[in-house]
Amino acid sequence: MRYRVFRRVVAFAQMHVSHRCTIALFCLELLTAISSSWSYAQIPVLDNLSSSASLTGATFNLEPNDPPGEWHGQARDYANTRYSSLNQINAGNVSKLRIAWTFADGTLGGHEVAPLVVDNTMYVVTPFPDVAYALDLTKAGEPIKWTFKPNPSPTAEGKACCDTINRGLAYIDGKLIYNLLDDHTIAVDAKTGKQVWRTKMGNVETGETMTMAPFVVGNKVLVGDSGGEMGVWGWIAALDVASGKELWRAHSTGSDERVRIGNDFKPFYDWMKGKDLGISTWPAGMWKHGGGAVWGFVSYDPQLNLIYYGTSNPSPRVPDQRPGYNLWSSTIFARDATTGMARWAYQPTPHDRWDYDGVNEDLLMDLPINGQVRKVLVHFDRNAYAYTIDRATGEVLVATPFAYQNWSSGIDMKTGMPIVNKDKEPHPDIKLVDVCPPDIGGKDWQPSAASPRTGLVYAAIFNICMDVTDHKAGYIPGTPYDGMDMHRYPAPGGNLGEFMAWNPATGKKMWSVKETYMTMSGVLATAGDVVFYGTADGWFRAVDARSGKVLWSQKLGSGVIGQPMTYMGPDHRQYIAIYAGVGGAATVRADITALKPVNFPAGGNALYVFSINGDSMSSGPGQLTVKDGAAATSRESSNSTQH
Amino acid sequence: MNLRATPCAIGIAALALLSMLSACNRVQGDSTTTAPIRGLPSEDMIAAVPLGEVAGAPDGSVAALSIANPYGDNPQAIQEGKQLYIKMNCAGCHAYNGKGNMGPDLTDTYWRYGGLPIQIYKSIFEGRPKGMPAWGTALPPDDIWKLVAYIQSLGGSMSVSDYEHARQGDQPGEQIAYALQTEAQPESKPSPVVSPPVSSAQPPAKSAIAPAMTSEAQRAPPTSTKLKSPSPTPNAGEPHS
Amino acid sequence: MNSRFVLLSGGLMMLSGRVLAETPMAYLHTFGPAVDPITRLGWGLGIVSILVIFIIGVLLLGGSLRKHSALCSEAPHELTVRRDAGGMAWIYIGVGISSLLLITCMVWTLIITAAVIQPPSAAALTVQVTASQWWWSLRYQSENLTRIFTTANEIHIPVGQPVRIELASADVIHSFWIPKLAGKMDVIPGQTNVTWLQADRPGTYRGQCAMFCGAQHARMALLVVADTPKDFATWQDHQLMDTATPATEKTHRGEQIFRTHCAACHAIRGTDAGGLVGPDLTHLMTRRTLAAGMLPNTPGNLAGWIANPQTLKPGDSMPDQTLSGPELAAVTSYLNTLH
Repeated sequence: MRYRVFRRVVAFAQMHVSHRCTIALFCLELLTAISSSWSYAQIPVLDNLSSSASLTGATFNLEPNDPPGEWHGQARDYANTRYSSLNQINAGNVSKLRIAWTFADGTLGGHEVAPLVVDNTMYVVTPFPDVAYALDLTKAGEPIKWTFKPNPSPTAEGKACCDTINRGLAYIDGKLIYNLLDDHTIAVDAKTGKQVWRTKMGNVETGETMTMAPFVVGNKVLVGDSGGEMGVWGWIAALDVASGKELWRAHSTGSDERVRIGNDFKPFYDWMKGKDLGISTWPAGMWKHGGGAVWGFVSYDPQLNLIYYGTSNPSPRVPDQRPGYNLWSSTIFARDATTGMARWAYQPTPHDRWDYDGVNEDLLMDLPINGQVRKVLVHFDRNAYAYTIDRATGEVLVATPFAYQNWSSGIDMKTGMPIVNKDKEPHPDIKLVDVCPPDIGGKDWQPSAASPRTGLVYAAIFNICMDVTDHKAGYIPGTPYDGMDMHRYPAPGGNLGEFMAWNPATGKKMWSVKETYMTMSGVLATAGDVVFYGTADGWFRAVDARSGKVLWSQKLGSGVIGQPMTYMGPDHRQYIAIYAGVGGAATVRADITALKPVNFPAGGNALYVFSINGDSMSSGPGQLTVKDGAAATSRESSNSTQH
Repeated sequence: MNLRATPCAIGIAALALLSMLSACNRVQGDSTTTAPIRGLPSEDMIAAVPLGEVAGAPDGSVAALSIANPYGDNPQAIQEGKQLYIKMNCAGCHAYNGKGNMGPDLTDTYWRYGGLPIQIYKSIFEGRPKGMPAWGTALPPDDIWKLVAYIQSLGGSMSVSDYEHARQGDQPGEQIAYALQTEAQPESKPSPVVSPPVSSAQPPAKSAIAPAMTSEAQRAPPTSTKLKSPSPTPNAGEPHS
Repeated sequence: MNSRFVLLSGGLMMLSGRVLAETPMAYLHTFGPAVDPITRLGWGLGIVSILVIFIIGVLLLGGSLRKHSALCSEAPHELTVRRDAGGMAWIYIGVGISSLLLITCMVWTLIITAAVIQPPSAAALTVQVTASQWWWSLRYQSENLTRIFTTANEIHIPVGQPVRIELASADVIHSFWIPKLAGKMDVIPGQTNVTWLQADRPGTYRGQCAMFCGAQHARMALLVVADTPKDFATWQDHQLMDTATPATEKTHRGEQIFRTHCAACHAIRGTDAGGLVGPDLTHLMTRRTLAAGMLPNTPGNLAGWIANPQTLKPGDSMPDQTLSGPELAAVTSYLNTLH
């Protein structure tokens, strides 16, 4: 309150007072800002310092503008920024971050989710068997409010290619919606933990599973399948949020009708124009088990009313068995959010030969490029190229490598096609060495984040190569339709992971932090100008969003492959939460002795919640149980003032 | 000109050639039927192998468990098993080197459903919960035995006595603190123990039957996981092969 | 002399025009430009050889029957044949004619064999042939991707157009040989050999694996069926169609049995059966033979083959099936719908 008044004064003064005075007022403003952040002030609005210090001038639509202290979906907002406007924790004090409380969910396996916080309740979901917990944040000890056990089919465990993970929940209208590994989408009442509806989306015995986090747009929830290694017929579907009824389903291969391509479909590049390309770019009948699973994150532009997502690799993973572009695998789609009809598509890796899925997230922003503000999406593809694409038309504006790669010598910006190096094309029964990046790419599913304050995008990426031998694969339902025999090892430099800041307008890396082990965690960006990420050997770090300096690190119980998030507790403290439980593709064993040395951590399942000095209702002297409804206070200190 | 000898000579030459050809044992292709050495076990014998331990006699041995792989370590059978391992997409779940991925590691000695050849056969034939398909209708028995031969060649299988000990968690080289007693037998009779193999990893001059209480501390560190040599008799220290 | 009689009478029979039906593997009478020049060359060299033998035979006979003048001279120190007897002319003429003939034949051979390496015009069709023990997998290539499909053991080609054959092996060395249409070309694992063939007349031409490749090498035949271009296009369109779903309960049951017992190795396009170990069975009933040319494709033979392949082709990769009578009948009835 004080701060706002002061700001108005400064603004008035800047208009009417001399230059020197302005500087003095500016300094005063800065001091006030710093001191007021020490007191647990109300959440400040974005101050206009941010846009002037932005390196790119990118602006973001943060709809649906959920309350800043809450977190309603994995990506936080429609644009998938994973940016929080909370700045109580900032570059100045993040080095004082300590563990405030932890929660173990009792299930081993890769933990890829970010917890949700709605109305002072935290919601998490475990890997298979996909148990959901609600934790009451108003009470010390964050007791479990309810547990929901969906009992998914055990068959699903043996059909998940890359660990029995779950990528998270979505909250809407008092319901938590998430996917079970055995091809069901369920909605659970957030207050009571009872099932509201349950919809069967596929047959797990054929090898199809579901791992992605549902994405809510209005009254629809979007879900997709997994199984590009199992020869599935990939799809994305929209369900009604209230009833769970399927409204439409768009497949990733097949006729235009199946792919929901109609008269509105206007791809920017020529090789994607034509009728029934989902059939004609495959040998006879092979589109039926062509893959194109939809297991990544979805984003949404409310003004254009378009959703954006990507499809997985084509099946089988032996390219010589399926000559042709193999549309619409490894493709970024823009679809009308209401009808599901495709608006445009772009295929970063036509006729994919290396398992370069197109499922990585599409971050939406308005970005000045060459003096003109464009509506773009930023996409770090598995093929190690970072794309800045006009999200209204599908035109590729920038495409430069962000990780070490040697499969192509560049992207032809006229045609949008990559120029493939012939000696990196695998053929059956011939060992191909030194192919970079490997199947898991320059970046896998782990999502990036963006900061409106710096205008940069932050991502955890890989520095890995592979030797690969293809073996012709037959399709036997329920078994892998695969054929890739791989051995992965570090690329030049010797480090397996890297955390970087990227300028999407110029296509350049601004700074990076190299990591010995894989960096396969999501990224969190905050208004405190701090970005967070974790490593596969268990380090969770806070980095200055502008300079790239590591400000704080904490070793956790297991490797970090989760998505960090932040929330405001009922005690008006900002907390950072991250799961530590290694798994997923970080331990997918394709003869990865180089990736799993002796001191690699074991699995885990603990959620770690951090605060400044570790202060919280659940840590401190004395017995910290509270009566219902009353927030506990921690030790007496001059810092604890409440508004 | 010895006309009468000519057809004879031709006949002998032909026979010699044919016998040479039948000796060809090309590994990649079938020049002859790969016949199992002892014939395939009957379905009744295979059905007699239970999945769990036998109720009422948990430490007893089931005779059917000792059904050996009729292909033994026939290299051609192993090679054909490897081809099947790739063609039937086993490699997709269990990895091309058998170390596991979606499915478990087949090269270690930990088996959820048993690691004896007959148990591996049954797991492939019947399928298992958590995603292992049942191949009994798709593959004939001798193809499944060839797959078992290949898996055995990866080092994860074991002998029957090692399995029976492993079912109780015993490992070669460990001490057993107390002798297993039965009512009919006096205490002095030595009971079956897991005898330490003679290997350089063992500390020297250790008595096989150690007094109680100290077995934990004196338990020898686990030796090679390749439990190939059976140790059926007490005090018979056999070297690992 | 006996051999010459046999040769002449055989040649007459060859030319009688009943070649195709009665002697499918005979290569002395061929039907395509890939081998016609070689057949002519073969006949030519054969006739030249016969002539040479005849001439030498006559000369030898003449020489051995010639009345000698008394050569035994009373003078022991004199040579039996004087140096100036004049016989060198025979040698000079003989060597001269022989050399001329041999060089001509050699040049002729080289020209002909070089001429048949490449087809006269670009290939109208490319078929990838993969030889396994003991059957042939065929993949028809096409510019239009949706017309790329796989079949087995029976190659259909359009008449009068060169067809490019790319040969690969799945296991050991085989050899691709259609006696009336193409010479032998070895199929070697690890490399792709290319040959071509062309049929000038519609008909069915039998081929055979020509390199010993295992116990059933003798039963590894294939058929090349030459259709008019119109018929060929019809055949190809038909092969690209998906098979119809089974209509009756018996065929439906048969399809289920097929999926559990057979689909791990055999593919039927349009269904979930996608195995690559054995021949593709899509449109099986359009084929004339079963088991790589071994049996005529009749329902009885099909049932017999499925039940007991090891008796018919011991050592083959297809195992004996443990199907009951009704199960065998169901799966056979299902396969009989694959037209």
